[in-house]
Amino acid sequence: MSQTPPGRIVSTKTFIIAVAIGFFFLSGLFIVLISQRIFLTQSNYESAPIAAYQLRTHYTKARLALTELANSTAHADIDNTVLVFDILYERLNSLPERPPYLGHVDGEFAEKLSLLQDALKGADLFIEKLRSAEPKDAPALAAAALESLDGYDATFASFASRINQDMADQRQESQNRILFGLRLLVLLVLIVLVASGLIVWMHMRQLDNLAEANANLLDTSKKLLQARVAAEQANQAKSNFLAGMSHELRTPLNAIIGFSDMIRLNYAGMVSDRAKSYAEDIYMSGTHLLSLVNSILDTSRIEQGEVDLNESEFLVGPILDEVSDMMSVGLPQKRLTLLRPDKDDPLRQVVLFADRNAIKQMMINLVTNAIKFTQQGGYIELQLGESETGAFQIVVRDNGIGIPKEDLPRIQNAFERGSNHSSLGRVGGVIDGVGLGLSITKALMDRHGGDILIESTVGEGTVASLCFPAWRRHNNETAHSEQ
Amino acid sequence: MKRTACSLLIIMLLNLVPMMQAGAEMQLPKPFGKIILTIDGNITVKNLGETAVFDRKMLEELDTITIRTSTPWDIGLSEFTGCRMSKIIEATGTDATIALISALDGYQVELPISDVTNYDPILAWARDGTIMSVREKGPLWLIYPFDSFSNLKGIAFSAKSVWQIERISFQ
Repeated sequence: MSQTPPGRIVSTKTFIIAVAIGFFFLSGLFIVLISQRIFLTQSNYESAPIAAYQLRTHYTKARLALTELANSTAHADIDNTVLVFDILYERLNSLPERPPYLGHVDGEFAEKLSLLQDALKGADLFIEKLRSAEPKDAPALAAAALESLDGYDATFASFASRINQDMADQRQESQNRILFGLRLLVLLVLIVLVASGLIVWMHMRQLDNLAEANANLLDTSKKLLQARVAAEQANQAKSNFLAGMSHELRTPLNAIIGFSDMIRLNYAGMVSDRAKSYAEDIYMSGTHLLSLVNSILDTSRIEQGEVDLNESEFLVGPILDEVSDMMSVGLPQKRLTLLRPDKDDPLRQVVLFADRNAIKQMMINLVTNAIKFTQQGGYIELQLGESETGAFQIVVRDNGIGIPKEDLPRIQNAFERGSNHSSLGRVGGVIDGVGLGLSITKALMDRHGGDILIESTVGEGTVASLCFPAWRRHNNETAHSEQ
Repeated sequence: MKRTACSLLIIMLLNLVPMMQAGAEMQLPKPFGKIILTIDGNITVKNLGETAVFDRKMLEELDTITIRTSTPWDIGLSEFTGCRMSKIIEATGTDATIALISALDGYQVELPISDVTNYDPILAWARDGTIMSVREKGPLWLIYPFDSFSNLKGIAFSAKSVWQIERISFQ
């Protein structure tokens, strides 16, 4: 049986956060890539090196044309020379002062550009004259223009190559960035894929674990059910055994009690005082044993649900007196006092609808307990009471050793008694019994739809109350007539 | 089969009629000023040997239109005045699919005639009301209406926007 590991749940919240972070990075990357793409497709990106190349070509052409014109005497093509110079002029002035994407050569670029423009302007003074010049003046003007361009050859050449180099660098850099971005993109996509796969896998595993836990739970509950059935069967067997045993025990006990009684009362002929004393002991022990066996029998009967209530209406007063009289017999030896309600207590006239014998037995149980647990010189008091709701109570109060609070909940179970009591019973030999009295009483009260309440303080005494529901208290007159 | 062949022949003949008419009716005047554009190749209307030549006045009379657009080379809008390429094609009676455009500096580019039907570019001679000199990318500059079509912003179209045009060869 494996258990589901706790705290391994991947919540929906975690998942959403992961996806959001993934999207954030992806969109950032896309923006970078798109901006690089725009850079590559910009016309200036390509046109700048082309313009630089053309600039150099046309400068060479212009110098060549001017040189030819300066050296010729006849057939000089003035128009062509001017045209070539115009084209060169246009190329140079087409270059923007601040070329886009040429950030790091900005200062040098602008400086050289203005230098070249100044050179052309110097030459242009003569070209303007050349436009409308007579053919004979042309060579001199061309030579003058050539002179003003002298010394700029290297500048034109380096300017063009510099632009080319820078643009190539830029392009390389941009390509590298795009390549890096693409690799990052692939990596991110992979990460997102792996993460989603992981999350799905974990969810699947959780489902598996859940199914397994469910199966285990079903299994356990089935086993529990079986255990309960087994326990119930065992309890039934125990009750059956106890009932049978009690019955079997009572038969020989009757013989023991009967014959020892005859011996001690000299019905079996005169015996010595010593033998008589032994017979007395046998008789006392036998009757005690009989009462124990009867208790066991009662308990097993009640547990088996075999007890039927023999309900009738009766006055409370007389039963109270019966119990008092019966229980008072041995009290003077123990120097205990048993108090009962006054003769004119109005509650003595209450009529109960209940099993009279059961009530009597319960009262005897409670008083017996009180006598057991009250030491010499103490008192036991029988009281009657009623609540506002009409519930009726028979109360047995003593000033005995009391019951510890922690024992109160369990003393009503069969065979259990307060720890204090049992230790006292062992040490002082004062208390005996098998602990069935209260459990029988509780069971009988349950049968009557009532309850038994026990309040106790260690060293001060115990109050046990039999509480009958209001409906068991019947009309006074009818009971009288029956009496 | 026979019927199909017959109808095809009729259609071809019918197509020939307007062409013949155009060839018969269209005639180009002779240039008086400086020749700024020479057209050769597959053309039916000619005015100088095997070529059709134009001075600015002839182009102005053929078609004058002004478009307002930005260009990839400048910041801001400019007004370009010129003649539509479609009118040049009409005037020279060509059925070419490609126009090879040459510039004064020897730059050449092939312009598909589909560009003319799709974007209607012009041969501009004036910018913001001023005639463009060679130093200002004149005498003729092929200008697309860059602002009217988003796909004209790329390098392919800026390469085809030839300036300092001197010759067009229809093929």
